[in-house]
Amino acid sequence: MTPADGSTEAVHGTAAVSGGTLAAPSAMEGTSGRGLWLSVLRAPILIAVVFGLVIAVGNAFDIYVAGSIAIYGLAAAGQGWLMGRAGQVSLGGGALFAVGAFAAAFTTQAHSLAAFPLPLIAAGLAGAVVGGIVALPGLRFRGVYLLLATLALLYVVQFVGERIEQSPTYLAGVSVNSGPGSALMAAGRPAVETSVVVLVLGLIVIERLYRSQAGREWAAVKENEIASAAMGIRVRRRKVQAFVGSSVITAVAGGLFGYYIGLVSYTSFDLNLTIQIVVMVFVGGATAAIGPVVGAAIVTLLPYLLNDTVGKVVSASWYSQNGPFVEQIIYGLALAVILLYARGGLASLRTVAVWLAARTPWTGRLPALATAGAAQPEGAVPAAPVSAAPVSAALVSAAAGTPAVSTAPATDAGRTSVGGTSASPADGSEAGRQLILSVSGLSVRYLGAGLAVQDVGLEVRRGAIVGILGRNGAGKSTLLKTIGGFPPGERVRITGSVRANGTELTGRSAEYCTRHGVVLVPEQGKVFPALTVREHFALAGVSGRAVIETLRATGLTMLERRLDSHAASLSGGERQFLALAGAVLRKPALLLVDEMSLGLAPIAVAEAGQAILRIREVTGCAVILVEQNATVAASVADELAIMESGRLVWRGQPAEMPGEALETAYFGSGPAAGAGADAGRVGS
Amino acid sequence: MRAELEVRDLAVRFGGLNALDGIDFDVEPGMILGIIGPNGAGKTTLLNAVCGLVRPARGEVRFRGESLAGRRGEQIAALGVGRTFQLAEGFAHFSVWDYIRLGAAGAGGQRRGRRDDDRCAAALQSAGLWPHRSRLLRSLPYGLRKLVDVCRATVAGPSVLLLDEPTSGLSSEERADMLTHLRALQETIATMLIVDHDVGFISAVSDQLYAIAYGKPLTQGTPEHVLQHPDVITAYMG
Repeated sequence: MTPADGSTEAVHGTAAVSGGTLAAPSAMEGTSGRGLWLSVLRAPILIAVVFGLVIAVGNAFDIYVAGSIAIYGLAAAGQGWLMGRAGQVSLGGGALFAVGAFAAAFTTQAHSLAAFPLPLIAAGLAGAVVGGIVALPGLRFRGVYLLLATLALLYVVQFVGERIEQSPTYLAGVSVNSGPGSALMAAGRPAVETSVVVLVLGLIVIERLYRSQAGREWAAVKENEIASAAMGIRVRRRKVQAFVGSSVITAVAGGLFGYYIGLVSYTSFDLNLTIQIVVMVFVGGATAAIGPVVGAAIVTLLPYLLNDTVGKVVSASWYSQNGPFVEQIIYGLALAVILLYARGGLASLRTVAVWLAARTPWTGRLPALATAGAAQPEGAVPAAPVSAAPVSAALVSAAAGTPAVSTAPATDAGRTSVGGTSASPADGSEAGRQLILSVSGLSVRYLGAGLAVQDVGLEVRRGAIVGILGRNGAGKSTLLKTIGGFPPGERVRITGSVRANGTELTGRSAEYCTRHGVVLVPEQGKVFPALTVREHFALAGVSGRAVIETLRATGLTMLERRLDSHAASLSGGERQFLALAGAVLRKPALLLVDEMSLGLAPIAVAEAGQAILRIREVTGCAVILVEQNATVAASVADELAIMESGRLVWRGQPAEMPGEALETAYFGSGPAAGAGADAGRVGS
Repeated sequence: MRAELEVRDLAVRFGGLNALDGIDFDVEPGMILGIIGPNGAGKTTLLNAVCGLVRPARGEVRFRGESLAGRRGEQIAALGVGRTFQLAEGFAHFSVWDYIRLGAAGAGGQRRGRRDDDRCAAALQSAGLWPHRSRLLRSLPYGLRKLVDVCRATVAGPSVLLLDEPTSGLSSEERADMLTHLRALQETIATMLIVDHDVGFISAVSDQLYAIAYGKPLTQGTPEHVLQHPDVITAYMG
């Protein structure tokens, strides 16, 4: 089927819409058309305007600082390409900057080559050669090893620079001679203007590349090299391209720097510079081309800001001695804060804006924002469940298609069989002691997407096994994650209340929930691929014979023959069992299992069901199973609940579950929705 | 007729473990071969060995009579072997469009931007995913993610498609959709190797089944034959 022209246009149309988000990699959409160039040029034009304003109205000092920012920004933008987009960690930034500066300076020594853009081109070529050399370890190593290999480059450059400056000609360094056209780089305003032009050109190149197939493939290599290869991406070629291309950009910045300072000496390019470039990349935001430039502005301005503030408050002489240390500490802290709270860096203004909006009381209900696995500041957790009573009644009314407006006390018929009779069990009450989990008025919204869970009320008795059924996208997993803690990086807004084991868990991290007896076995990422099965048990403090005993007690015996295998080599089903065993060892009072039967052979599904029953028998914990497989859930659970479009629409004993209710859940709310409501009443 | 894919006496070792041993089968052009077996049988490893992500300790895989030994994953993909993943880790921040567009890499050739765009748009529309093209993968329900992955693997027009658990985690309705989609694909991509646990699904879609357990072959034949084989019943059906 060939799409009509209109549909292809629509593809390019989306590029114009979504290309504007600064840091989101979704800005990679589209490969041609006008919308593409609009999104490519947006950030570089913004940068040009800001620098233009500073040059127009600033004093000589402002303009000098602006020039430094432009040059460092270009260097950092190159490294951002390598690290942020292609995922290759590198400490080679400072060395490449030096290579560019030396290459430009040496080129100006030869009279015939000193005409202005030529030394910069020479710097770029030198960067390409050195970048190609750095790519060699880049093809072999990943992570920390690559980091160390690129660090070696810095010491090579330092060594060579030192040798150069032992020769009588270059005792103080290599001077940058003027040649034809070097008026463009004359000290002061011209040099700054030229640097800004080169920066903007560099950013346009990078932004355009990010939006090409190459840009997409770099992002894919960063995500998962093995999967990328299976998709047909030429991983090695893409890596070499990223190393060479980013090195050219950083080396050209080095060439500009040579002109800017006039005398190139190896002492300017120490480890500190390298670290500053890394800080620029990550503080500014590594995924968007503009991010490192923002980072460069912050890192460059910081010493001046500190001098004006700390220097005045404490004492100028103390600060002049200790300033660099204060800066280092601030870099470190800033990096930690950025990586915790705004992984996309400061340039991802949308992230920051969303973050601020979510923390601002005037957006209505005071929300809890689960971010990056960090424990919430106390103030951000809603002090009390918002309108708890009316919402939990939504259970039945939602199925009938009426909004949850009921203000009846939550002791409505639909939940009497649930176990708790009181709407909001106080901790001291009889009902409260019987309940392990009490959820009321819970709504969850993914930032930038719709409500995943709406007004859910749910109570679970100690030792009960509750199965939650429903089709994909019904909100089952989100509900489970809201109870057991969201993994790092998920951005959601939660209203309502989740209390488990007498502890308020709303918006808490997974780690906090685990410490309070609520353990989640997630659908994905549940084992550590690099550890063996035995090491997984050791992590939970179990070793030796106790491992086998635990496996036998819980019926997870299929792991016995794989004790010394790495989790990476386990099959999907074995990982499932390993994750279950690991969860049990954390002594849960409430075990949450997401899609237990996912990827299990028929025989293993039955085994897993038996394992859940054994686990309850041995530990006495309550279990919530989120399942696609209704038969398994019905065979194991004491009670079932059906979820649809974020709401619980039916709840009762497995035997009572009418076929219509299940159909509603799996085949959508058509005419069957009314039947779902009837089912709820039957359940009472 | 020459087999599209020949697997000859294939063995894969992870350390001391024989993940696969003595795997041997042919896939004729136009045939869908289903692979079943208990968890840990080596089904995913078998797919990984075919598409070059793990190196066999013994034996070889031939594609159209040509040995794939020593070729890297991307080279095998460029020959026309596409695959989907049980769960593709990472890529959560990709939009559907960008993810599908990655699949065009396998088709080879560099400067084909506009044609690849058209191809991807067509693939999205035929899979009914066009309205979702700007959504991030992480925001999609599991079932749609599976369909997006199939779409990504087929956009380059592979001649052999390897599917790793295409229906796991899908509701019965979504399974039916997946079955329809694969049947439609069969008209263009003739040959498929499918690993799945849904016995109903895999016997409906496959021409032949190949059952393995603990890395060793159990039996091969029509779905009726394989599912009634006593070894398969003991090891797999329970």
